[in-house]
Amino acid sequence: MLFTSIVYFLFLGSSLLGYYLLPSKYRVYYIIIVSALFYMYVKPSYLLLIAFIIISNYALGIQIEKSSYRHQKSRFLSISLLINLGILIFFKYWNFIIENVFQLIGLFSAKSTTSPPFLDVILPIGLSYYIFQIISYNIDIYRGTIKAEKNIFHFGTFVLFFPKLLVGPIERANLFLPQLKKSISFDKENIIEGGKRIAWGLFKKLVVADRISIFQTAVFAQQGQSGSTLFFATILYTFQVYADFSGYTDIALGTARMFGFNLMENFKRPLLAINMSDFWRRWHISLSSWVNDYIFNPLALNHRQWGKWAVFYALIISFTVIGIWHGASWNYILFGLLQAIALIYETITKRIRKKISKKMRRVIYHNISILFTFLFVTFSLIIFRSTTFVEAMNIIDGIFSNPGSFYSDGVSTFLFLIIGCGIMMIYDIQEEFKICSFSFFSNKNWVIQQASYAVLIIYILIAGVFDGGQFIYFAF
Amino acid sequence: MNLINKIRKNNIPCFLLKVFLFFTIIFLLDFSIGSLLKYLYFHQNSGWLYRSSYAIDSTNAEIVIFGSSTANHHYNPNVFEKRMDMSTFNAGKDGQSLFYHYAILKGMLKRYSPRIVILDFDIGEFEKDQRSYDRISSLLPYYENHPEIRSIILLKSPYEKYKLISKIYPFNSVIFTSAIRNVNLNKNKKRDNDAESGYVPIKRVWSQGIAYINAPASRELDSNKINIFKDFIRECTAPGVKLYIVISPSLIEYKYENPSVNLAKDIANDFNVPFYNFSKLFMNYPKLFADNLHLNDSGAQVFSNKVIDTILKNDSNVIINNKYSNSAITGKK
Repeated sequence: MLFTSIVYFLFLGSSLLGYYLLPSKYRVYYIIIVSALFYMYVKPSYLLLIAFIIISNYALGIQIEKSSYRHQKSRFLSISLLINLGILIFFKYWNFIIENVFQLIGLFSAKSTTSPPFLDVILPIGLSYYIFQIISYNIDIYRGTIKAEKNIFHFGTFVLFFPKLLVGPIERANLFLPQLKKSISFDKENIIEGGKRIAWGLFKKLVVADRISIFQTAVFAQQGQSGSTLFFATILYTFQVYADFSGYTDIALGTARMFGFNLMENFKRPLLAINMSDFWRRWHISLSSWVNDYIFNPLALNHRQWGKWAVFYALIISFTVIGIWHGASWNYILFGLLQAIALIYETITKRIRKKISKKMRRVIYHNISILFTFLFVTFSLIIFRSTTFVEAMNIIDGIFSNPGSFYSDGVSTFLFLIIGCGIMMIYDIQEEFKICSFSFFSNKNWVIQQASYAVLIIYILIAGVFDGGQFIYFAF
Repeated sequence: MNLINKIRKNNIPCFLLKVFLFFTIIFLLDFSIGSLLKYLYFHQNSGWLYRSSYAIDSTNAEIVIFGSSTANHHYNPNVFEKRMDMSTFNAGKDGQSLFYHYAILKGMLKRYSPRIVILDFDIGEFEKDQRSYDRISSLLPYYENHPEIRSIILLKSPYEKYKLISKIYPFNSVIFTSAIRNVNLNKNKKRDNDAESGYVPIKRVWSQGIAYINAPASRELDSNKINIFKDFIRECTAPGVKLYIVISPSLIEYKYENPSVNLAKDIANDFNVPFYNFSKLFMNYPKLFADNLHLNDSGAQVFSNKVIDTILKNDSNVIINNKYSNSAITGKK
């Protein structure tokens, strides 16, 4: 069920109505049923897998907490990691691992007649998100930072809650579980604010991301496009990925808010980041903070005797994980490694950059930093979007060497692209720098604010792409 | 009492009033902007959107060509008009499938009956493909005034009629194209794709060779498309229209037995409709192509003549009609 489909909005409306008509003590149970139905709509058999994950991790969480000795806790944590990572590897990484192992064997031995034991299984949607969520839950219990959840329905809701089930955010137990303990009552502000957030999400997804996607497909479907066309398309791809993923997150957060839940923010205007460290504090925050807490910090601390090298080592491992989290493919690993190299570079050149910044006007330095960060992100996303390394190299080579005229699909396409990206970025710039004191969407005058949202919805109807759109992040 | 207290506490009547006001604003904006978009859409006088309106609402051509891009770029109406002495309109549209062709045909037949219909059949026409359903959206502007095509539009999605409550939705994504065509910014541009003929020539020349396709995009055939194909044939046979089904030349060699082509051929035989497969006709002439799939203007010229030759050679009725009397042909022109 796509968040932008009419079926989703029928589902949302009817489930909200039932939710608030029920006495508040039954609402958690209602949510778990609704979430299960939502997941069943995607594929009924997935529900068995997720039920197994919920029950086993619920029991293991309690066992980790109950264990008196460190080694016992470690044992239960290891079992939980084995189950969760085992499932993730089985569904997502098995074929990739086997393929590469066979290729490696093939390098050293004669041609083998045995074919690799590939699995023909479909990756359950959202698996990477909820597995990471559960891993953090068990590690937090192990560390003693949270208590194990004793109510299986609460724990089930933590895993299954449908707005975040498919594309995150990777929610933390210490933020989500306490919200289930409170009595949830109807609050019109939740409906209004949730609705606004959903409207923005739809705008980003339908008007910006899906519109760019059409242009992208047209450009990359034809070989030999000119350098200027390829450059423009790669710049647009950065906007597309941002609009697609953050738009989807906005719809998830808005939906959760309507049910009275606050999920963690996943994006904070990442295209205005001044360096790559800043970028990763703003982009897919739930994943980057997860990796920071459970991989980077433990690794850097455990190897602190290495000095700076501990940080570099932790960065490489962390960003390799971030890369491979996106998919079982070398381009994602390379994408992660590129991020690590950029952050290592920033660590090494921190002092020099500080000196340079003092010699320049702050505004100029700031804007140049934003531009360079954006260009680096765009460059790394070329590798991210390419299915093979050769394809990525062809695009990069094409940008600098292909002559020819700019691919034009008519004035209409460009107007849609410019207006869509323009509105999205003006909104972000206003939120970031508060350039103008007047705001349409946060205006205190009710009429102006509501009229602005009405115009936004009308523009979605005029310029949104309603057919054939798939969320890029579904593949993860 | 508890519920009443909750309602009072949350100021729900005021909230509901605001929600009502908000949706009233949206409804008014939707209605007014939708009406404007409708006006702009139906007042264009050139361009690809206009060609659909012209095909469904205006053309009286004796020969009409249906199909996707391979129809639109391969059949030059001027050649047909000169050699067959019959007015010709190319109703082909890029990226469209049988759903679109059938809808246009139904709209047309409501007004008049063309004498000859040529359906350019795509190699993978019957394959299941969500895009062909998505692209039915180009028929949405005609939903209101053309009840005969509504059943085709509803194949897109069962929710389509609810979406069509919005007045803007049928004109989604066409605002700038319609507006530009209305202010006639292109008036100095050569109108080589005007509605008079429908044909859009491609000028470039293909410099590469043949492409090979080892397997179909989808092995599953779409029963909706097969049924629509049969309906298309039935509609053409009923009012005495002469139908020809043609497969255009391409520079693609298919390494498999195409189920769509075989089935289409069988159905055409059942209905006694001529079926001409020219897919391998120009395999050795890449200069006639603009890309692997599309002929360029020169190629279209040669191919149009080839189609006419084949029709005249195999169907003596057409020759007789042409030679002796145009008025003998039925049709409410």
